[in-house]
Amino acid sequence: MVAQDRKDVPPWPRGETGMAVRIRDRAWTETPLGAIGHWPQSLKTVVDLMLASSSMMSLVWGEEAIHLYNDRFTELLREHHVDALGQSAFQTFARSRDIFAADIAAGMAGKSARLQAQRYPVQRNGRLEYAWFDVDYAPVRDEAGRVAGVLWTLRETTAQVLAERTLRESEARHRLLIGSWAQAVWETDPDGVVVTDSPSWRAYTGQTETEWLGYGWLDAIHPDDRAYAERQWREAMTIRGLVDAEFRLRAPDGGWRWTNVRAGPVLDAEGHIEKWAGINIDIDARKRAETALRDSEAKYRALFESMDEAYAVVEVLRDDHGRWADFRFVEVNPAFLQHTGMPWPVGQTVTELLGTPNPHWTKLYGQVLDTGRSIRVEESEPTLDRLFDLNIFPLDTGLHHVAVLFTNITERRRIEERVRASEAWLHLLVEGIPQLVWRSAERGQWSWASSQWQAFTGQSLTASIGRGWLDAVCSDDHDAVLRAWDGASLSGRIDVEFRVRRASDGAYVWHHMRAMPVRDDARRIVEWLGTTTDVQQLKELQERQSILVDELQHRTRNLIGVVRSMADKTARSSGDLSDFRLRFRDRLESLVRVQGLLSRLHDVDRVMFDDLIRTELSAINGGLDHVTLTGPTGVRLRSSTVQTLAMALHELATNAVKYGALGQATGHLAVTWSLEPMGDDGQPWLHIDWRESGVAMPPAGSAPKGTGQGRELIERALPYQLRARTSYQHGPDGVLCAISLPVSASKEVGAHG
Amino acid sequence: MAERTLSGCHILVAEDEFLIADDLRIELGEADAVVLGPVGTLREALEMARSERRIDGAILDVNLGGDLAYPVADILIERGIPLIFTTGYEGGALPTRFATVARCEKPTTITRIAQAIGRVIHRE
Repeated sequence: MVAQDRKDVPPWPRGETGMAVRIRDRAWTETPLGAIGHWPQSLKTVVDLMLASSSMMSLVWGEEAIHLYNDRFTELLREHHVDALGQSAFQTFARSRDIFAADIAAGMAGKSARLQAQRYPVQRNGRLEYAWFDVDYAPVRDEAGRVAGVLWTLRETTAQVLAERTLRESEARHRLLIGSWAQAVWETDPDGVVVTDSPSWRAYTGQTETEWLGYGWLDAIHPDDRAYAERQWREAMTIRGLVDAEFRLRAPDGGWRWTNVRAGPVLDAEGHIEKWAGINIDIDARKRAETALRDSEAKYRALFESMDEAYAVVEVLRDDHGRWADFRFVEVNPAFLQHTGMPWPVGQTVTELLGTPNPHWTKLYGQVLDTGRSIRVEESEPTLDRLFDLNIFPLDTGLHHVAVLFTNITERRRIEERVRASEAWLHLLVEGIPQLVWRSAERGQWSWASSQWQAFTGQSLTASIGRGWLDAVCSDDHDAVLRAWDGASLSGRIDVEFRVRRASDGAYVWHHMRAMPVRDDARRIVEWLGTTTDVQQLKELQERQSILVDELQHRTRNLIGVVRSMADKTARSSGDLSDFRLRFRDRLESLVRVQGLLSRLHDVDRVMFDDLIRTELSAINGGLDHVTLTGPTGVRLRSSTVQTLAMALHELATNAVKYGALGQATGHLAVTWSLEPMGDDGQPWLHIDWRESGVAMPPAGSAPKGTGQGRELIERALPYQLRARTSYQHGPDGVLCAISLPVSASKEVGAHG
Repeated sequence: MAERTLSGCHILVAEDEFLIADDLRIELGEADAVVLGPVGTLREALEMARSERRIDGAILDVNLGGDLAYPVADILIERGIPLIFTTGYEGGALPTRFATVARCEKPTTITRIAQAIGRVIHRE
């Protein structure tokens, strides 16, 4: 509108695009600058300069800092969506007012300045970012020579700033990285002389800076390695190559540490050596491990060479189908040859060496490789006639290497088998003998009992050990048993009898325990080894023997009593000594015959009546002429009755020979006997009928011939001693005698005469 | 020796061997003793030991036809009657309760037996 006042004046500023149009069309009358037609020339000149510049420029004018700028500057405002033209810069850039307010004031005060890398917040890519600018500002004067505004020229350096920052960070990272595995970092001049300090070297070696500079670093190297290190370094200098050497460096503590030094030339743009850069890496732990490994390898080597066990490394071989088929000896120790008896095998396969070896070897080695697990096994090699105890373990599954550590146990096994056989034999013996065998500690603490003890007592092995076995011993005998054990260590033996309960019937059976101590080298008793023997039968036999001896005593003494009594009686009835002698001898002989019959008997045997009568008559009569014997055979006489009955029969027979049927040609003796039960108890009685006939008898009334002794025996002794019933009389032609006496209940079977 | 006389004494004789028993009977008779028995079995001896009113002494054969005469001795001891054993056994064979009972080991003379029973009866 103002401009329209003078239509002849061409419009200002000139130009048909961008900021020229916007400045021209802005309604300036509302602003402190007033109508554009009235602007001072100095202002218009600066605006023209600005619009024509390709640099980013802006102008603030007057105290209000009214803002004018060129097209380049609008880039900064593009995303701010504000119309900054003609507005106060303080208002538009309120956020960064602190940054530039002082500069505007300085410009208004007539100063100019160049500011580098000024950072302003800028809206970009949808967010507020920092951007960096190199900024120039200068005061603009009006026609009166007073400063009326400040002109700004900006050059954005954001990309450059960010690139530098990234570079710096990258370098820091590298330093950090090197520092993490290098103990020392250093540089030398192009000739390899140290001219700059290296704190890390000083920390690593304990050298001072003075010691380090020049060639002083060589002093930090182990004397043995120094010449080598220097040579390496000078060679690298000469050929301008890399250094990679290992040697020992002094450590701050005075010891030596292995270090790996790496260095190389740093070239400038023209390819000349600018300097040498190097690092030291500590390899002490690795070096020591290597040394230890070498030492231990040497030690193991020595061990394998000298040890008694055989050792071999074999390579297991596959056939065309990929199956484990054979193996080759890679390494063996000297003991291998002794254990196997094989020739030096290294380089050869087992098939080449043995022809047809036990196929298990290859199978076992393959299995170890397949599973990666060791095997402990006993295996025999028939072609060598040996048995081995082996430890097989995987050594290198990639190379198919297996290690075998083994021993020839052929002989040991033979001995073991002999011992086992002998033990089995002993076991058989122990289990087979009738004695109950046991082992015991002191004081009857059993540790083992043979199966016989368990079978006899019904005790389990567990129940019998310790003093459990005493439970099977009759409690009446415990004292005797414990006394025996108490005195055992002193006497060195156990010898005691006691009763043991038999499980089968609960009977207590006498046993004899005997034991001997097993002693160690110091003669101390280690344990007791003993037997317990069933002595019941022996005991019974001893008792029976003692009874028999008593019985024999009794019989003998009785017999002598009888003989004496017989002698008395014979003497009383004898006319003279020769008569006595004849008759006494006669009677003694009869007694002897009876004793003979009795002595032939066993325990349950009995003298048979027919034997007795036949023996007696034959002895007296010299045969059985004129005699008839009628009766059953096998009639058993009680032993206690035999002697008395025999004596009675002897008297009868003697009288018959002297005066009766056996002394006369016409005489006849008939002895008839029978067996029949008598009395309430149905006990068998023997009835003997002695009947003489054809005998010329003395006249009636005269004294009968013969002694009264026979008659006394029959009439008094038999009833007294044998409970016999007897009768004795003189018939018209001979003696008639009847004797009935109880006999043994049983009669010999099937014997009838 | 008057005090040792068996005259009038009632003597029980238990002896299974007839001849010995008969000898004892005769000798005791000759000493004017009254012989009770002799008996040869345990049964008869027991009967007599229980039922005879007067027994001044007893001669017991330890073995009566295979039976031991101890029960007879027990009865007699209970009745306070002195007795002697005649035995074919050695001394140790008798039960301990008869340890104080006099013993005549066979064979012995009838006289000795008669003397022994005399001593027992007269508490010597």
